[in-house]
Amino acid sequence: MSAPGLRDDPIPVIENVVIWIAAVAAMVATGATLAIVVAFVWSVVARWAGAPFDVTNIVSGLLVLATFAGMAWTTVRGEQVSVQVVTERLSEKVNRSLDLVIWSLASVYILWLLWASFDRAISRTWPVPEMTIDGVGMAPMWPWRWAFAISMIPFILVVLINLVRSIMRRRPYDDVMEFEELVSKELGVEDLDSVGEGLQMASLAEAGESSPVDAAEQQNGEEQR
Amino acid sequence: MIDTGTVVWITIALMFLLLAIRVPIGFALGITGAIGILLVKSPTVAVSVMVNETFQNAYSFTLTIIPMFLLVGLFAVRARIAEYALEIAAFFTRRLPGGLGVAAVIAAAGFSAVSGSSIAKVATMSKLAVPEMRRHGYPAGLATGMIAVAGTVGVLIPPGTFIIIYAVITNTSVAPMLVAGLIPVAISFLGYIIYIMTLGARRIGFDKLKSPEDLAFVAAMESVQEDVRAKARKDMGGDTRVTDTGTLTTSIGLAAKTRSWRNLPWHGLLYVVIIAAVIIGGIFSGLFTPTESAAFGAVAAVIILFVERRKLGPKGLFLQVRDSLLDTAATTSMVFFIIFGSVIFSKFFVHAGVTQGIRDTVTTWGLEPHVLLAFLLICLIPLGMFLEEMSLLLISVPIIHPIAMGLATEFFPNAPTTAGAELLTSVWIGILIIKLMEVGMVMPPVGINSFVAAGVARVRSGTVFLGIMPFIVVDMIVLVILYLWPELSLWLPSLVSDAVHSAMFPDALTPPAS
Repeated sequence: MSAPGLRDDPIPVIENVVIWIAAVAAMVATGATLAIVVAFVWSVVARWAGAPFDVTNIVSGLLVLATFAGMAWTTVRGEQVSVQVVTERLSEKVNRSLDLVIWSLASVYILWLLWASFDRAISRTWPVPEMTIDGVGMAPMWPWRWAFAISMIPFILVVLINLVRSIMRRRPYDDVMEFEELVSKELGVEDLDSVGEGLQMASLAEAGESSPVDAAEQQNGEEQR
Repeated sequence: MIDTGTVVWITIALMFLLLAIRVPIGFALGITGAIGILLVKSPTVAVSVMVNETFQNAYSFTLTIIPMFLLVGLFAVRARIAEYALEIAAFFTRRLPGGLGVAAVIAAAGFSAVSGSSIAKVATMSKLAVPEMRRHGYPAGLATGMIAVAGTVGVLIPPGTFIIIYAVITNTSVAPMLVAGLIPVAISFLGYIIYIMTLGARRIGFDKLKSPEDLAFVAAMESVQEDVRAKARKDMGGDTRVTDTGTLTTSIGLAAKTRSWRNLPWHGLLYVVIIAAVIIGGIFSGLFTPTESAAFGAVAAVIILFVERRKLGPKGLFLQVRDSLLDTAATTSMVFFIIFGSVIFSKFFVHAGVTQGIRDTVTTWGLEPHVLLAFLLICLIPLGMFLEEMSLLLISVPIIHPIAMGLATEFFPNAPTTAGAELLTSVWIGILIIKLMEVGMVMPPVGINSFVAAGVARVRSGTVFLGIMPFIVVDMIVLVILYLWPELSLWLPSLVSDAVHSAMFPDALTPPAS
């Protein structure tokens, strides 16, 4: 089995399951984003129609869902921003050791946050449910506390998978984007072969092969004519 | 027991160490902030800050504007607005000295009005404009440098997200902040264009694809483009303008061959005007609040995407929208995770009394207020060279902003109230700080936009870093102008905010904003 849309190397079933959970959570996040757009449009149209409707609570809550449900997928896609100016000068072996440090720290931090978020969700639900005041009166806030806590579960699973991969000396998901994948993403080309060929031509030319140079010069000449 | 001062230094050192070993920025800031609070206060306080600050910043009505603006930009990219803007600009600037460069900068300006992601702007403009500029003899540094710098400028205006984050963390009204950057952005682009047409143009033509590396790059790009076009012709029956990969069509080449302005893709300009009118016009007219304008901007952008890419069919359009939403979700989570970490770290500064300590220290220097503020702002330049911009914004603003607020009446002595002076100061220094963030986005060694330009254009990052230097000088001149004449940043806000207007023009009888 392989991770969906990420890489072709075989990965254990459990890892694939976690990635699919992250993907489902990401779909929840996209649904929440879409719902925010709809809620805003609805509220404006209702206001213009003379029947104002306050969406403050629901939109704020949906942002909680959009933010936390997407965390796992963001990590799977390797989009957590980090500074690599130092580590890119270090050897592969040192970098793999650093992965272990990074994801150990991240696991402890997210486990701490997960425990605290569930603790807070429980204490804000029983015995007195937490409420907030919006434009139409009291609105329940406690469901969004649970949305926050539950959305953290896929995130911690992905962080733990990264930790396991680091222990097993495999590259974590913060570091899987291969250069050709990056270029293909930038260029919007789905067919990696065409990108590979283009880059191969560049490397051939750098090595002194003449064909791409000739092609470019020929085209240049044609343009001048 | 360790004293607070030692804890502060240890925590700051730990933060830089974690950043240096590639710990994701959100984790690095959150972990060190939590450890710092744990040491200066207690584990209970640390847990409370972690959970409450994280939740409260996610449960934020104002911050909903961030995913909305991201969505606008991602829809706009897929609607190929940048390509059309470049094609139109290239036609009208083709006879100017450095015309291609001027066209690229103008197109970046147009694209800035619809895309909040500077990285998307740089990546798109690099692949559209740099190969053509290289073919016309632009030095690699000049071509990539101007794209890297021009791509950053849009963060000052909607749908840029920095301006929103600044407004939220400083409790500044969002509406005036959203329009405050328009004139500074216009001045910046004017500065770049003047440089390209004068000094930059002298460097063009002496570097006409001499090296095998340059020739190979052009050949490689053309090879990829030809593959894409061939695939598009095969898939879409010869119409290369309706594929997912359509942005690779050579816009400038098309413009050069276009003899009449009638053949230009004017609908692309119309798209820019529509999205900008919905976002900016909605705020100015009072039809929408800033957050609502962002949501309506997303609706306008998706309608444009449907119109522009209608030949893809329902399935193709669904995929475009789905991918845009997934990208938005991923980027939103990434941005918010950094915000959460930064907020925890800045709370540590508050608990440890760092902000107050710095304020007390700089006050004892007895510097003239303008000199003091200039000094604090200049300190951001070296910091911006090593810290990611979002972190820099979230770490530096809680320190600089309170100091500036304390001096607000010195900066704006004519403001009728202290609150008015503070509002003017907040908007003004917000623009200055975010303009400095822009500079950091291209400066070595962590200037992400320069790396993106280098990566997409396949040139060495050192070449890009050299190429940006003249533009950095232009940015510094613009910063000095904005510093000396705050009205340039405050006049437009006075048109949308009664509070700003009455603070700026205390003698005016009736404010124009409602």
